[in-house]
Amino acid sequence: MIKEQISIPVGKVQRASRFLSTGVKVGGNYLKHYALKSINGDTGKDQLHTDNAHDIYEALSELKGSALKAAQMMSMDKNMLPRAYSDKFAMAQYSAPPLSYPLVVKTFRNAFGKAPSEVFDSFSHNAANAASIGQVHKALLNGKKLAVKIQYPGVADSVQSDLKLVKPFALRLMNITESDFKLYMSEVEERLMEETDYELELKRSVSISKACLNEGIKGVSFPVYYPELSGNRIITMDWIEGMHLKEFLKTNPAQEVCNRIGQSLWDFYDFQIHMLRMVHADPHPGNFLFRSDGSLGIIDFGCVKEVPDDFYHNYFRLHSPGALNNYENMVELFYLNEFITDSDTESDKKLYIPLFREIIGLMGKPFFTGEFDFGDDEYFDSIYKLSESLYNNKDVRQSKTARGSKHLLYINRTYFGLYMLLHELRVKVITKSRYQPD
Amino acid sequence: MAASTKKKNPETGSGNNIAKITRAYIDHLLTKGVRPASVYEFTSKLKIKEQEFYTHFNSFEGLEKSIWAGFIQSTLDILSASEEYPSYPLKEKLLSFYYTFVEVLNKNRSFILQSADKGPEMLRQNTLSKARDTFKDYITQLMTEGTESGEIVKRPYIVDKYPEGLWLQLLFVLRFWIKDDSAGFEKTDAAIEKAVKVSFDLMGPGVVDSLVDMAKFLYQNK
Repeated sequence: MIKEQISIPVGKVQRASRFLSTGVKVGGNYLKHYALKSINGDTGKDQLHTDNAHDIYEALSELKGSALKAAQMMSMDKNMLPRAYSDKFAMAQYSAPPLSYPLVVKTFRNAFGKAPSEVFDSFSHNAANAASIGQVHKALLNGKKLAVKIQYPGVADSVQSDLKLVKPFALRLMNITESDFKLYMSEVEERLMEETDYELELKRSVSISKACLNEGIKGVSFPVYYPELSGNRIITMDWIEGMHLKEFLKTNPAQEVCNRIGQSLWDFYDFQIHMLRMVHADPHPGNFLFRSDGSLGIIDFGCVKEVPDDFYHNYFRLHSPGALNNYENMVELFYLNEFITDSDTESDKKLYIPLFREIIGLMGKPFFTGEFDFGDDEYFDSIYKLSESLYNNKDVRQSKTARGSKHLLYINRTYFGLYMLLHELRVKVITKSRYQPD
Repeated sequence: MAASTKKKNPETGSGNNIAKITRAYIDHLLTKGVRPASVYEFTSKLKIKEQEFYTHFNSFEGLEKSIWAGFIQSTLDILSASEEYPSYPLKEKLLSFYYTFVEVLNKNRSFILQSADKGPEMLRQNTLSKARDTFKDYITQLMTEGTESGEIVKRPYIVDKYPEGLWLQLLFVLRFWIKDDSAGFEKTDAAIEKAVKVSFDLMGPGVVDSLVDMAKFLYQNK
């Protein structure tokens, strides 16, 4: 670590900007850098981007599984990526080459000893949707429409090798120490491995959706899950009607309808993080089904982040109104959240304390006020500008320390994804937590 | 397949004797690690006449050949017993064939690993010649079906090579499966998906056909 101390301030700002951008530090950043370098570098940028995006997308969709997941994580962050990239990756959210029907049959035989046509009254030959590590078939049983999610073969196995594949890129382009990298990577790997565990997903889906229903959160609905029709590579649940966000917005829904959905979304997350201490950490548009009556169907609890107590307290102390007003109090909270550490020099602190103050001040804004208008373009512009100015900061190149607790990775991803959804809905939301004492 | 018909009365009937001989042979191979010293020794231990062996097989090599052909044959038997199979499009038929084939292989993995151990040439033409014939018959039948339905393009000269090409693909799958160490041979499943996709992309209508078609058109209308 001493060696890294010498090469300070530069790259750290960059890392901070990454923290700001999404929390998708790992898979995503090498691409951003890649994108950035080509911007700063030569001409012909747009074409280059399109080509790159295309190539990378092709490669990723071949890899399926975790790499596709990385693409999905990136595509959420569309402000931060050149358009060409984000358009290509937006595709990854909706399409991936499907599994053949005979393999679906085989998977069923392994699980139940029967073909799907014997288990259900009817079963669609082709997949209705691609999930990132599987696909969804429509089925009918006793007059009930069901969604049957089937996992691609060998996914669990390939997660580790995919990540190994990302590693050399990520290490070079993120420019952080191997030990920092490992810390974040282990977090990503853990989540991805959990995602391949359909038994765990089923358990969590049932328990979280039950808890939300018992709590009586308005406007959200969940499918009923059928454990007897599920296995380690199959999950069966009710078929949920609704539109993806983009389709939904095309129908020009009334603002009042959007507002209701937006508030339900916020309340859903508010309840999870404060009461359940575990969060649906995959807020990409494919996992939410919007309906014209102002209700919202929520699916896919594959990626769930459990929030440890100490992290929770530190994080929400930092995100409570007035947290940044008292300087000493704020610095203490920065320590607790690992933005700055004991190994930082005075000049490090001089650089980072104002920087994080700005970042938290901006990103935490919805938390600091009781109500927040996510339709405010100026707000999202200022996020964009801040991150841009951090990227373009000339002092930004060589540091190797990453900042922030590893838990931030998925928590930031979750909140940033939530912000983006609410932004697209252009809604004003009561952000004051129902569960947090003042 | 012979080896999977377990514990029937070893009474009369040539089918039963074939099964009995095959089972005993595989058992010997797997427990001793080598072929029996001679047909004489093998049959006397089995308490059948040497002659009985020779009515079915001409040698141990011949026996192994028919064991391999049996893998293909029992795959085809399972497929033809399936209700859904006939309604599949061609590509899915071939996929089903492979998935079923791998199931059959799984039941005989020890024997196959033992065979593969003797060197790669073991998995080449000689031992597999009979299996290859059975497979190619099946493929030729599929090809006829496919060219009628348009799923396979009838390209002069090349179309005759398809059965041989698909046989190489089967060998690829077999070798992949032998080396596969993933749980439940999941990687073999993935390999099958990809391999069959590639072969059908090649055999089905594609860019080249459109190019040839356009060139022909331009030539005729210049």
